[in-house]
Amino acid sequence: MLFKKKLRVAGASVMVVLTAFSLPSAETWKFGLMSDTQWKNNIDGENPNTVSVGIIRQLNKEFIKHDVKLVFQVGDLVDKYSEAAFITRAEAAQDLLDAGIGFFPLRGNHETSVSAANYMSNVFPQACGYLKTFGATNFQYPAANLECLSYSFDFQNVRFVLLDQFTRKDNTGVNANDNMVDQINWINSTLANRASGTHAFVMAHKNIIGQNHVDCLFGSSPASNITSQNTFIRSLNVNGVRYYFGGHDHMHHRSIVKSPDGNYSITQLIGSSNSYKFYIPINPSVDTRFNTPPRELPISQELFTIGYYIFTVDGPNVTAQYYAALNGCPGGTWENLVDCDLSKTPKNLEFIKRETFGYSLIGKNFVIQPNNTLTVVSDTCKSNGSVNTFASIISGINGISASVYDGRSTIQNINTGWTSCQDSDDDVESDILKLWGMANNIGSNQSDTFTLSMSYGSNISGSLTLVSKDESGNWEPAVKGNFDGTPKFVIGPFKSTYSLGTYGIDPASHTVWAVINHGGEFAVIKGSDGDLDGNGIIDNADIEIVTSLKNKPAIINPAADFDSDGNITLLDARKLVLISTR
Amino acid sequence: MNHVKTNCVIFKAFAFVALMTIQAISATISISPTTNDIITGNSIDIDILISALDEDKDLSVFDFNLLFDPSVLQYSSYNLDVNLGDLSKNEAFDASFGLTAPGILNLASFSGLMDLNFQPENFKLATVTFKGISSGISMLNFANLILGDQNGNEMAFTTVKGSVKSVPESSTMVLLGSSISVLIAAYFSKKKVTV
Repeated sequence: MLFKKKLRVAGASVMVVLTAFSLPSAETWKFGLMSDTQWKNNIDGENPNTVSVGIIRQLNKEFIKHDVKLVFQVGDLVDKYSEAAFITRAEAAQDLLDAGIGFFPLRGNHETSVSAANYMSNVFPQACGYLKTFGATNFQYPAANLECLSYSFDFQNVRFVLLDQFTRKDNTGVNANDNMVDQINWINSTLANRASGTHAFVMAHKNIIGQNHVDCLFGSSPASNITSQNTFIRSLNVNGVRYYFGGHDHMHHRSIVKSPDGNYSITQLIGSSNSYKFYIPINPSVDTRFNTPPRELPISQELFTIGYYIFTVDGPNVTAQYYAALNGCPGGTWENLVDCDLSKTPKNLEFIKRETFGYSLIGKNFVIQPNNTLTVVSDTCKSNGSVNTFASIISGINGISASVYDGRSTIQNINTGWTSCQDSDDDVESDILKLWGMANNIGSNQSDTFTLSMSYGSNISGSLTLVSKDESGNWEPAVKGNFDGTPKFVIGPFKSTYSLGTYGIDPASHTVWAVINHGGEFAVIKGSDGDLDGNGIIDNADIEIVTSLKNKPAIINPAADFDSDGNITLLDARKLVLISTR
Repeated sequence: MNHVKTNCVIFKAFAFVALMTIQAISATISISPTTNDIITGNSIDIDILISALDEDKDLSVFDFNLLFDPSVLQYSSYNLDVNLGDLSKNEAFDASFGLTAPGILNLASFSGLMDLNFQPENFKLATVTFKGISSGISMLNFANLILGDQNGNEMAFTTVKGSVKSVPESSTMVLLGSSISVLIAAYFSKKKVTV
C-alpha cells in the first residue's frame, strides 16, 4: 500500500512542478501569545509591584505544557511602572526561560514613560536581540530611539514585528497618538524584505479598532491618521500578513478590519485578559461611532475570561487556539460569564480550548455573511508533492450567527489550508484539507450543517471515506465528529435530501463527501463501507448479499441500501460493484 | 386577447414540461417483434431490446416483470444476452427470479464490468421462449421496471409492449382442408360441363 502511494505521488509531482508554491521548509512548532498583566493591590501576596504574577505563573505552566518555543506579551506588563515592577515582570517570565522558551514583550499604555523606554533593555535584553533570544535571529528596529522597543526578528519560518507606540528613549513621541506614522516605512520594508513563503505577524498594545477603548494604534480614535492607516493595512495585506495582535481591551475579540479606503483588510485579534480587570465593549461600537461606513466585521468575541493563545506553525499552515478559564468572579459559569475586578488571584485556573481558527499561505480566505451560502468555499491543493486534491462545500448556508456584545452579528471567516499527500505520514489517499472557521459559537466546534466534498485520484479504486481528525489526532469518519445525526453510507453523488450524517463515495466523479456540522482536518482514506460480511474485502460475497435482498425494504439490512432510497434493488448491487475489489 | 395570452402561457408551460419529460428519457425498452402469431402448441422466441440509449449512458442494470396471459402462453425459458457482460465469465450477474406467479416472469441482471463503453446504442437484453397453449391473444407488458446506468443510477425510460396471437393447430387444418375440398369440387364441376 505504501509503495503504491509513493508511486502515485511521484507521478503527480511531475504535474504540479509548474505551479509549485515556494513553501516554508520548517518543522511544526508553536508560539504563545498573552496580553495585559497589570494588577492593582497585592492583597494575597502573589502580585507584587502591580504585576499579576499569580496569573502569569499559571500561564507559564500552560505555555510549557503546550511546548511552545516563544511567548509574546502585547503590552501592559505592569499596572504602575517602576524599575521594580519591570524586574518583577521579567522574573515572572523566568519559568519560561528555564524551560527554553523565549519571552518577547512590548510596552503598553501602563508603561509609557521615557524611563520605562530606557529600562526595557535592562530587564528584557531579548527585545534588543542581545540575550535570551532562544534561536531568534535577525533583530531589527526602526530607529535608535526605538531600539528594544519596536523590533522585529525571525524565528524558523516566521518574521515577528512588534510595534511600540509610546514615549521613546530620547523622550520624543510623548503624545502617543502619532507614533506609528514614522514607523510605517520601516514596517513595510521589514515585511516586504523577508524570505518568500514565510509567515509574518504584527503586534502592538493598542488595536486598529478597539472594542472598549476608543484610543487605538493610530491615535485617539480609529478615525485618526487615515492616510497612515491606509498605508499600514495595505502593507500588511500585500505582504501576506494575516493576523494583527493587540491587547488593551482585556477581552477575546476577533474581527476583520478594513483600511479606511476600503481597499485592504487584516484580521485583528484582541487578547483575552491576564489582568485583574475585564472590560466591556462600548455600545454602539467604536467602529460604528467613528467610521462611516463601518470598517470592522466581527468574527467572534468572549468577555470576562482569563485566556491565552497557542499558534501552531506547520509549514504554510497556522492553526490558532484560544484557551480560556473562568475569571474567578463570583457566580461565573461558562453559560454565564460575569464581570468583576479581581482582588485575589483566581487559583487553579482550568483552561479549556474555546476556539480554533487559522489560515494557510497556500489556502483561501472566505468571508460569509449571515444567511449566505457556504458553497463559495472551494480550493485545490497545489503544493509540491500534492495530488491536486480538490475540496469544496457543496451544500449549506451560514444560518446560525452569533452576536457580539454590542449587537453586531458575526460573519463566518472560513479559511482553507493544505498538507500535501507526500508531506503526510498518514496513509491517506488525498492531500489533507484544513478547514478553519466553521464553528458558530465560541466554546463549541459545532457549525451549520454543510456537505464537504473531496476528490481522490482516478487511479484509486475500492471503498473510500471522507475522514476527519478527532481530538486525539486520529482519523475517523468525518460524520463521527458530528453533533447529532445518524451515519449512513451512500454510493453515488450527494443529493439535497440527504440529512446530517449521510456520507458517501461517488466513483463517477472520484469524490467522497459527507454531510457534517464541524470543521477541522479532512482527508480521504481507504474505508470498509460496503464490506457487508465483514471479511475485510468487498467482493462477490458482499454483492450476493445485496442481490439476495433484491426488492426488499431497506429496513431488513440498511447497510445494503447504497442509494438510501428505502429499498434494496439491483441499483444498490451495481453501486457496490463500483467500489468492489472483485 | 387575455384569453389567448393565458392559453399561450399554458401551452408554453405544457410544452416545457413535455420537453423536460422527453429530455429525461434515457432509453426505450421494447418487445420484439411487437406482434407475433404462433400455432398453438408451438414455441416462439421473444426478444427484449434496448434502444435509443443516451450517448453518455451505458446500461448496467435491468430488472422487470414481463406480464403475459398464462391461459394463452406458457413460459419455457429465458436467455440473457452478453451486453451487460458475459455471465459465464462472471462479468455480469443473473438476478432473475424467473416465473414468480402465473403470468409473471421476472428477469434481472446487472453488470460487474467497470467499463461498459462497448455497448451499442441498440442491443438485446434477453430472449424469452414461450409456448402457445391455447388460442387467444396474450399481451406482453413490462411491470416494476428498473433500468440503471453505468453508475447504478436509475434511468428514465419508455416502453414498447407486444403481443402474441396463438391460433390452434386443429382449426387451421380444418380450414385448410375445407379450402382444398372447395377447390377440388370446383375443378371437377368445371371439367364435367366441358364434356
